Parts: sequence; C-alpha cells; structure tokens
Amino acid sequence: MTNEEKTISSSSIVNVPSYWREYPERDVEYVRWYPSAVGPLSESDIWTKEPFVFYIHIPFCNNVCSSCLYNKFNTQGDLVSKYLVALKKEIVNYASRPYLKDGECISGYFGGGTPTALSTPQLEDLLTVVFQQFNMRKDASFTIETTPNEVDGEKAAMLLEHGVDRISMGVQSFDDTLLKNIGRTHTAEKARKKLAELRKAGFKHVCIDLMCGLPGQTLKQWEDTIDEFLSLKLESLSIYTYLVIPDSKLYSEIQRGSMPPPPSAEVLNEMYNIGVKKILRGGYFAVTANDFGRDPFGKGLEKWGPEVQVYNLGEEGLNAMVASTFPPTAHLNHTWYECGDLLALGSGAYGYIKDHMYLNEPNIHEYITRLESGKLPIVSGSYVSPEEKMARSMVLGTKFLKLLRKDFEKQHGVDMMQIFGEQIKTLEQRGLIEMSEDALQVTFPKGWYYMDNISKAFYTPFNYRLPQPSPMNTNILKYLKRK
Amino acid sequence: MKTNDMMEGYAYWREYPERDTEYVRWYPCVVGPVSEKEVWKKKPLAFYIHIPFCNNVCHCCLYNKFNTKGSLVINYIEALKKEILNYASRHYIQENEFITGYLGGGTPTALTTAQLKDLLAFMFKHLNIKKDAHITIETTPLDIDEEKASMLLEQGVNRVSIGVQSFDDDLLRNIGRIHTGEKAKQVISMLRKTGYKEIGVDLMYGLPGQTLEKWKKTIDELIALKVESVSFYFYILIPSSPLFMKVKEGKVPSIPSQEVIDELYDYAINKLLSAGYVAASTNDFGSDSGIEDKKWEDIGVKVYPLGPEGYRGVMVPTFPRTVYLTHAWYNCGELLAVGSGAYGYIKDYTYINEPDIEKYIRRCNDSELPLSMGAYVSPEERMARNMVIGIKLLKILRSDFKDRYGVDFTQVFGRQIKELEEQGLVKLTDEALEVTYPKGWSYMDNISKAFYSDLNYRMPQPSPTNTNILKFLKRKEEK
Repeated sequence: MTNEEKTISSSSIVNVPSYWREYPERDVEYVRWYPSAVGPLSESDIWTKEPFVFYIHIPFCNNVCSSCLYNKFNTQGDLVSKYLVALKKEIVNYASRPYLKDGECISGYFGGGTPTALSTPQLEDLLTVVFQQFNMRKDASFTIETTPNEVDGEKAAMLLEHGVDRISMGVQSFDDTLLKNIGRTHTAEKARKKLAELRKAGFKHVCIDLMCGLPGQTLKQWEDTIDEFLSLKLESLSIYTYLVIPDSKLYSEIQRGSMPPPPSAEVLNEMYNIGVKKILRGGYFAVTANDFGRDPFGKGLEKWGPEVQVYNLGEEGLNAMVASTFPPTAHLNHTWYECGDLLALGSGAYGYIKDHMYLNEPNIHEYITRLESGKLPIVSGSYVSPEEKMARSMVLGTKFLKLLRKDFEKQHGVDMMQIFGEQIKTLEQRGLIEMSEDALQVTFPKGWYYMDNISKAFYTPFNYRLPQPSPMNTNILKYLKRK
Repeated sequence: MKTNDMMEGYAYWREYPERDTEYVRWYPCVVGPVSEKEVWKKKPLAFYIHIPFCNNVCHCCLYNKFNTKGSLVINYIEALKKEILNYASRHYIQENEFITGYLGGGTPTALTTAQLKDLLAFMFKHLNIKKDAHITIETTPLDIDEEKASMLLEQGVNRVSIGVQSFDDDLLRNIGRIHTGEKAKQVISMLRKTGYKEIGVDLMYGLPGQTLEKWKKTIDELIALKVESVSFYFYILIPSSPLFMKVKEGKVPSIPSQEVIDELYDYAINKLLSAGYVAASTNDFGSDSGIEDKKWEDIGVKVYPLGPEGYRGVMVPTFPRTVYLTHAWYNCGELLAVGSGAYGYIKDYTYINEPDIEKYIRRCNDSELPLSMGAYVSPEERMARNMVIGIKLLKILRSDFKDRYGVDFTQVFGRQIKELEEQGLVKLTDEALEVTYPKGWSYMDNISKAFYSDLNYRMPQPSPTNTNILKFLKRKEEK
C-alpha cells in the first residue's frame, strides 16, 4: 500500500495524514501533546485547594510520666510564655506562605506533652491565632490531648467554642495501684469524673488511651479496665504497650524489687488479644491494630453512605472498617497513605511538606531562638523520592489493616503488586496478609500480632534496620549515615 | 528474666518469626540535616504566550490565528493581560519561578514594537521570571526590524525563531509567503548585529513544486548562516483550501511524491548532522558551536553517537539551547499557557484555552480563566505522557524516569518496549531507552504512540479544530 492510499482522501494531491497507523505502516501525525483524550474543563477543576493537616506540639506537662518517650518539659512560667510566642511566630511564618494560602486544613491535632497543661487563656490565645491564620475546611475536625488532671468544664467549653471538637484523654488504666506504679498523679475516679464533665460540656467525640503491660498489671486488671471503657460508651479508644525505659528510675526500682515487674511477653500478648476481642465485641470497629472507633454520632455507619467499607474479621461480631472510606477517619489517609502535607509546628514536631519530611529543633531553647531570628526551626529530615513515597504508602498504609489497590494505583500510577510483589508474596506465605483482587488485608489475628514486621517489610534497602526517627535518636542516625 | 523482658521492648528491629514491637509511626527513617530553603524550594515553571495574529495568513498554517485588525488586537492584548494577572494573583504562581518561556503564534512579532514592549514589561512585572530565563519569540522574516529586535533583547527575550520555510522565492510564493529568501538572510544578519546569540530557523519540506535540487540549495544556504538551531516541518496541504484548489486547477505545481519527500528529509538530516549539528529530536537540531566561547564539555553537554556515520545526538537536559524543550517535553514540567487556543499543563491538568478569540476576550473580561478543554493527568497517565513526549527527544535516561516516578520504565512499559525493540525501533540499555537511527527515526510517531494508555489509543492529537470530534468520541464511549 502506498502512502497516498493511507491518507484520508484518495486524491493524489492531498497529503493530510490519517491520524493513526500501526507499524509497519509509518504514522505521520506529529505527536506534540498527551493525553489526547480531553473533555470540558473548568477553572475549579484545576485550581482546587490542596488539603493539609497540622500537628501542634506542646512540649509541657504538669507532671512528667516515667513512661513517656516524648519531647516534653515541666511547665515553668517563663519558658511556657516564651514558647507560645515562638510557636505563634512559626504559625504566622507558615500561614503567610503562598503555598499554605492556597491550601486548606482538613484536620488538626494538638499533642504533647500535654497541650491542656497550658492555662485556659493561653490555649484560647493559641487557638485564636491558629484559626485566624489557616484556611479551615468546613468539616475539618480538631483534636486535643489531655490528661484527667488538666481539663475542667471551663477549659472544655472554651475548647469547643474555639472549634476543637474531639478530645483524647490519656487515662492509661482504671486501676489506682497501676496508675501510681507509673507515676501518674490522678486516680481512676478522677478520669471518670472528667470524662463525664467533657460530655456535659458538649464533646461529642471523646477518645481515651489505655496501656497494657504496666508494671504489676494482671490480665484481670486489664480486662476490668476494658470493661469499664465499654461501659463509658466513648467514641474511640487507642491501646498502647507500656515500655520500661532502660536506666530510668522505674527500671532500677523494678530491678531492686521495690516495684512489681511488667507482665511477661506471653501475658502481654494475651492481654492484647483478649483486650482487642472485648473491644470489638463491644461494637467498636478496628481502624488499626491499636485504634478502635464507633460511629461518633451513634446512628450507625449506614448514615455515612454506601461508600463506607466495613468488613468482618472472620469471627462473628469482630469488625473492622476501611479508614479511607469513612469520613471521620478519612483524614488519616491523607497523612499515612497519600503522603499528604502535614504541617508540624512546635519544638520536636515531625512534619511532611512538599515531599520532604522534617523534624523541628527538639531543643526548646534553640527552637525559641530560631523563631526569634525569623527562621523556621527545621533541623533535619529528608527528601522523600517517588520511590520512597510508594514505600511510605505501604509502611504506614498497612497499619490501616486493609489497603485498597485502587487507592494505591490512584496515588502512584502503578499497582502495588508491580512494585512490591516480592514482599507481598513473602508476607502472604507467612500468613500475615491476604491479597485479593481489590485489596491487601492484614490477617486477623496473626497479621495483627506482627503489625510492625509487616510495615517494615516495605522499607527500602536504604531504610532497612534503621530505627524510627526521634529527637533522641537523630544522633544515632547521623552516625549511621556517616558510617 | 525480669530485666531481659523489660529490655525486650527496646530492640528496634526483629525479623519474622520474631515479633517486632517498635511502633512504626513514621517513614522514611533516614534523616539528615535539612534546611528551610531545601524544603521550600521553588518549582520551575514555563510559560507559553499565544499571539493568534499574522500580518499575512499562510495557506499551510494549521494554527489558531487571525489577521491583525486594529481593535481586535488591542482588545486581545487587554484580555491577555487580564489572564496573566489572574494567574499572577494565584499563590501557586507566586511561589514558583519561570525558568523559560515561549511567545508563539500566529506571529507574535505581528504586534507593534510598542505593543510587544508593553506586554513583555507587564509579564516581567507580574510573573516571577528567573533572571536569564531562556525566552524565545517566533517571527517571520517580515515582522521584525532592528528596533523591535533590540527592544525584545532588552526586555529579556534571548532567542528568536524565524519561520524561513525555504530560501527559494518561487516556492515561497507558491505557499503564499510574501517575503524572499534574501529577506530572511538579511534578517538573520540583522539579529546577529543586534546581539542575539541564539537564532533558530524553521524550514519546510514537501512544498508544492519542491525538488531535491531546490532543497539542496536551501540547505546549503542554511548551513552557511551558522544559526544555532534548525527545525524541519512537513508541509501539509489543507483540503478545500484556496491553495488546494489552485493545485487542483494546475495553477500551482503539485506537492512532491512520498518518495521525494523521504529523500528531502534524509538529505537534510544527513547534511546537517555531518555539518556538525547535533540532533535534539528527529526535527530539531542544534549547532555544535560552543556557548560564550566555552567548549561543550566545559558546560556539561552530553552527546552520544547516532549510527555509523559519526553523527551525534544530544542529551537534551544537558543542552543549554533547549531549556524550553527540556522543561516541557523531557521533564514534563508545568507549562502556563496564556492566550486564545493555547495549550497548557498545570497542577496535573492539561488544558486548552478557548480557541474562539471573541469568546476568549469576553471570558477574560469577565475575570474568568478562559479554559475550554483538558484532562486530569493521573500518575499513570503522567508516566505515559513522559514516555510519549519524552521519547521524541530520542533518548530517555532510566534514572531520570525513576527519580520522577519511583519506578523503572521497564516495570511499567516492559511489554511496549519489548515490542518496539523487536521491531528495531528502539534500543534499551542499562542506562537508557534510545530511538534507533535511522529506522526508529522514521517511525517516531509510532514509537510515541506505543505508550498511549488504553483510554487514548487511536485518539487524534487534540486541537481546537478537533475538540468537537473528541467530544463526540467521548460521548460515544460513555454510552
């Protein structure tokens, strides 16, 4: 066939090329653009506001617990007020950047330390600045952490008034002896009282943290604590494993025998398994292997619409939800799965912006000095390449227990099997995950037990065997890097 | 043992079947010193400004253009400024930086010196354009004089691309060009005198009445001019156009046969490549004269061999003459396109501006962005786009693709690459995917299209004239 015959018209003087030819025919439509499939498009399609979340770190506690690994200080008048001035400078610095002006906050978190260790006027002032400076999406949700000691009706009402609609209380246990063992200065009764006060003040979303593996804790005590949680009908719960810090005061007390030891690994394991089942049977859905929630408005999940995905864990009454499909937890996906922007503010806070993870100056005095000189307090971090972003989506995403393949593909343009086929196969052979056409799912209960092994299977060789970054181990990391 | 149990929790790495208990809440783990500047670095942008006017509309031109009519031009420029201002007021545009730009048409120099000066000053005032940004303007030999040329240079335009088409006066007349070959040469020497260090020439093959003899003469004249870049275009005779009628009536000689067209193309590239030009694409060539008296190797330009004759291709991202191409095609970077009928790519969307100039003006005056059509480019389509468009620059480094998308292109396009290799059109090495010379060159568009996604398969290139076809095809598909 001659080329003339391949043209649209058979006339020998026309040479307008037909626009598609397959090899061995030669295509001569000059390609200068892609994709070819175009449709109507409006301004609002392109110029959407980019979502971000924030984390504000308040590194103060009125009582520093012996079990806490976080960056915090006792509240000392002068330091706190200087810190708040610096923090507000940091907020204004970010908020004045075009990037943030173009963005929209979908969720915020005040953590610590104990953010409520600040006085009501201090907190009120801080919240006013935050809400003035950032664009908040209408349905954005804001959480604050507290201990049972640091919140009362007045503070609670102020928080609600300023847009904080979710509160997370570090209860740890409903057993006074155990609380005393770890140096907590509140009683179980106080926690109950404060939770009731929060309800009365109008909080519709109350969460508590509980710990298993406390020094002297028995399985019975743990079960009682869970039962008590269930009777409170709160919206969500997070459970953590207590760690004794080596060379701490508590550590030597245990060695000396003046403090009972924490339960053995076997007991701890049982505590976790029994606790989880109790929580799930109590009508809570698993969001991760540590976090459980129920519909915050108590009207059943159906009202959120058909896109909410709930699945059974293989035993009647034990259910989990796909966090990305559930509006109240959807923002978690932004940080953990979509590598979305997380603006971290405050000394020692971890953030993720513009494909960089970063750590703020952990030394509170240096943090203040840097802001006083008009600088951002970013000290370390790394660029997160597209390859590492894929790894990040798996490392943090698997913590949601079920990852939809289409979510990964939407995010990265490839199926997770194309990139992590080998790792997924190994995890499947070990019985830790199951792969279906739609999703990767962590098996229950085996995979749950090995949750962190699963996450770490997706570390790139560059990150292999490295500890989680923290203000305390950045020195180790520098050393490892130099090596 | 008590203490061991307590320490148990502290090991930060354990392999299955041991249970790891370091609570993973962050990734990646490798951190190093990072500064504010590093996190908040500016993203590079390019601009394209479409001036849809010509003082003389050529019969062969497929682009969106109008004759210069006083009030329409003035209204258009006002609308264009409104569009620029609309973008300039957006934070996204403010925080990033234009590293290159292109004024195309039509004939941007069909605007008067005063109009152009005003427009350029406006752009530089409102857009964040990097110092020494690589900026090109298109012109015909007729629409630029010394005054205009030096004004452009002063305003930051540092490259001129001239639509010479041919140095043969008969052929020029055949396609309705009203300048001579001599005029084109004069303009090139005038631009040199004015101080332009980068001059590009466009030539066309397949013109009505064109013979190999005439073409050889044009190429010889071109080489003598020692311009920095040359682009070849294939002439298309538009059916039902006045010229088409004239050819049909025998008043204008007919276009050469396909065999002759192939011969013309082969002659031109052989001649240019043996004269020391390097290939940036199958249509675009750069001269090997150094830049600012520096040798290429001193400025990091990388070349690679093409075929057995000692010809050379140039790695476009290393070539300072092709900043715009590198940004728009090799890197698939963001392209802010303004003006009626312009094509842009921003925030993961491709878009085509309103091609109807009157409507375009109305929309800008209503403070709207004049977008008409476009598409979201998903991560999957972004990879396809980078192959489709990037391969036109003849060689894509695997490491560049991986840095951008996190995967090797063979992981995503393994099947397509294998097929193209079997057909002898591309060569895959450990470092790169390369179009074979000469076979792959003649199948350039087949190679590009091999990377179209299913959604784009068999779709024509979008253009203001075929967006209606596309709408129709799309509707059909949805049904």
